[in-house]
Amino acid sequence: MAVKIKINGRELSVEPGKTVLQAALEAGIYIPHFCYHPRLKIRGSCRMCMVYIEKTPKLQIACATTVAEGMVVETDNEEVRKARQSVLEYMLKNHPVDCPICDKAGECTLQNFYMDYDAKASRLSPRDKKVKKGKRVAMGPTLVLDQERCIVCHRCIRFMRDVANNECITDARRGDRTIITTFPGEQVNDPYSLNLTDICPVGAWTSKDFRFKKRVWLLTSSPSVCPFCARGCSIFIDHEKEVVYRLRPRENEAVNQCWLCDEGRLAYKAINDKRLVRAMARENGALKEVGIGAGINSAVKLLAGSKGKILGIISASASLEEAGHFKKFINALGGKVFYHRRKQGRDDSFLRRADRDSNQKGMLELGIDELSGQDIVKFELLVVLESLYSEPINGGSGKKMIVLSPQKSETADAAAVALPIASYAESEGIFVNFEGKRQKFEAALNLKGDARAASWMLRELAKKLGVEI
Amino acid sequence: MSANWGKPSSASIETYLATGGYKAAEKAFSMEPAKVAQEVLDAGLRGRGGAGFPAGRKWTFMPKDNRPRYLCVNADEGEPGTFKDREIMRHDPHMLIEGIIIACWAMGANNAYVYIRGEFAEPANILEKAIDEAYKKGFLGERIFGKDFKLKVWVHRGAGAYICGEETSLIESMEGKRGHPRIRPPFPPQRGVFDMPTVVNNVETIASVPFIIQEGVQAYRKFGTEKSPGTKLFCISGHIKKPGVYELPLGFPLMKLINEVAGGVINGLKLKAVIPGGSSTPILRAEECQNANLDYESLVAAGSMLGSGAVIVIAEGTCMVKLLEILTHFYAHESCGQCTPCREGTGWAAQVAARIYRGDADMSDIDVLYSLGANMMGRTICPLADAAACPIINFTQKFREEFEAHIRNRGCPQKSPFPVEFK
Repeated sequence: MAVKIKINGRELSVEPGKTVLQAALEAGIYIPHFCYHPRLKIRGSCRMCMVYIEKTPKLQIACATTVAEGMVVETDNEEVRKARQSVLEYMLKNHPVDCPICDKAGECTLQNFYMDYDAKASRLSPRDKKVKKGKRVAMGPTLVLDQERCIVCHRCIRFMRDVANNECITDARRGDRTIITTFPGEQVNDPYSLNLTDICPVGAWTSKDFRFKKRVWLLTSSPSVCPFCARGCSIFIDHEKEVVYRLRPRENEAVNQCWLCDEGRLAYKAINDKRLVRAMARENGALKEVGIGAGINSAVKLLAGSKGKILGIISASASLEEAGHFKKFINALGGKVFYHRRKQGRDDSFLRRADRDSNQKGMLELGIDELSGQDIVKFELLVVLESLYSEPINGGSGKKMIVLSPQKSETADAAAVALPIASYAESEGIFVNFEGKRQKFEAALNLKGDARAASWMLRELAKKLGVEI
Repeated sequence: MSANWGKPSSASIETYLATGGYKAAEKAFSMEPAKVAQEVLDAGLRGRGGAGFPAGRKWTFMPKDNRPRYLCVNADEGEPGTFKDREIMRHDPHMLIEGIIIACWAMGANNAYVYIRGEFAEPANILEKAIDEAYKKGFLGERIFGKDFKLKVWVHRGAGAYICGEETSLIESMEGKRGHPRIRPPFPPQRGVFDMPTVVNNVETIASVPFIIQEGVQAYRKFGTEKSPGTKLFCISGHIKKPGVYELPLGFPLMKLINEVAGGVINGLKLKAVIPGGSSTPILRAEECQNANLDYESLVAAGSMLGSGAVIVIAEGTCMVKLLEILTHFYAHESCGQCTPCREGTGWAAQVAARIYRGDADMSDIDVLYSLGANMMGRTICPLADAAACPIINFTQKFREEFEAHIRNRGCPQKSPFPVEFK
């Protein structure tokens, strides 16, 4: 039986057991909050979500108040607005207000709420000093903590304890001296540590990697899918002028909720660095940069001379479309296709999968099998389609190779011809994750240099060879 | 309640038994547990920790299921001006233990914890010794008083946080965590220590139980008023001739306590104000005290609260700004740091109060100080912020002219903030 409540005069029918805050957010009525996070336990301490509820003597926190039949809630009356202002005033009492040098500026909840709900001059007398706490405290390999910016919402503590299952941080001291810190002798050394920078509503937790690199309002966020393991977490690629500065988790209840592992997050560097942007062809034993047309022609020459002795090897992180085109192309030349995997990791109980490829399931769907050492021996010419994180192929050296790759890899270096292709960040396609979920992603960036989509490259080769794909 | 205090070796079980000790427990065990709880409810015993909630009602809130359940005795007595529970444990610990036995029988708890503040080393030692004696006599342990009922009592020493006297943070601390108050609901009777049904009662509340069971509801109701029956321990301190703990019937006139029982204001000084129930209760000016009686209802009518019964007497010549500085400093030090208004508000208020006392302030600072208190009131998980806000609001309203004088004078106009130097 749904519960009938009224928020700001609007009648709502709410599932029993829900909180006022959940009911309001679902109905599109925003109630500001700091410590509440939909995926963390209720804390109820920031006091920002206080609302007026009829027949209660004082304001109630919406995050910890369960809906009840006939409840009448006001989220924006004079009393509530004043209470919010006072909470913000308290919060800013010991906050350094160093927005101009803070990485969070532009996406900071405190900053936004100040503009939306307070925007008053400070009443803090210059004679009342702010409490001094730790600045830029190194908290482990990935994180830096500014204890003065912290508003003690405990989101980080709850995340580490309840979600990452690694209780390494706590609050210490009392009153306005309260700080977040690690337990004695501990570090935040966790494969999911950088999620703290997302859930921190202020600039207290910052990423060592991202610190001072870019003002966030200059970044464009493009939705994509992480290719770093078989989970296929939904991500945003944050970029400016074709350079990627960070990856962030994108909300997806079915896959990664709102989390992302550090490895996947920091893998963005491969999109910027060591990219293959020109075609390369071997002349007199040395690999030389050539025009894209010349590169394609060299490849066509090799392919035409080896019909029937061709082996196609595709990265298991290539998209479904790339794999489909590749299989048709190689089969048309009378060759066989296998997929090549990255070195395996370990499953953990959270997001990371042992299978370090984003589309092994997709390969199997297309009837492509895994490569083994014996397969290579029988063939004269290897056609390799790599993806961003591909590792060298065992037994591949010594063979003549045509490599289609987004990166200057070991395999590309050993090729007779290397053709630059788009990475996942510059192309669209589908990954099938380990649970069989088909996830479409789109291009975030423009093609780099002479690089083309793998499918375009394969069609060009097929056209020149006179085969249909 | 204080009948045995001051007798030689009053804390020993022999003394207690010689004065009819453990007879009430025996009687309780011959009654149905529900009947015992009903007696306490009928007697009208109200929580002596400060809130004044009917003790028997709290017991009946315990769910009727098979989960283990606990009694927690709150011996964290930290409210400034309060020192009554300490005296119970020092002078008559067996009265507390007997009360625990009866309460546990009434609510079906097989384990009781006494959460005692860390600074109370001596009372804790005495209590532990008394518990050992009770085990030896068979009043605690397996099959007590001939019933298939076992009871263990544990003494848990706190680490010195005022906030751990608040029942939910006491529970957190008992579990070995930081003393942070929990959001209610769920209330402790639904989910308390180790997530099990729990009743938290003050030492004095529990120590009042044996008399009620032994002598009956009528005998108990002979003392006190209709709505506030029984006697209560009052701790009188400050500028008073004979400070100490006095057991008086509820409803006793405040001025009679000050002038007759406790010998009047020290050095014959004039009375300026009284904080009647511990530092968290609103202060009363001398004229507001004249007709006030010491019971839950009259003090509310007078604009304050009975609280823990800690009567702090303030003589004429006391600087109220200094007093507020001391109090704000205390709350800033003890705020647990969980909720924003209290965490930041207490520290800020302490800074402003200190500045006003030093004379390093403007007139507008009085309003800032007042609003820092007002904005904390009722806006946090636990009542610590209310307790901190209370003196800020009251002092700045009732003694505003003293604050203004400090600012005009650029410092305290008095030579010394107190009319009497305490050693």
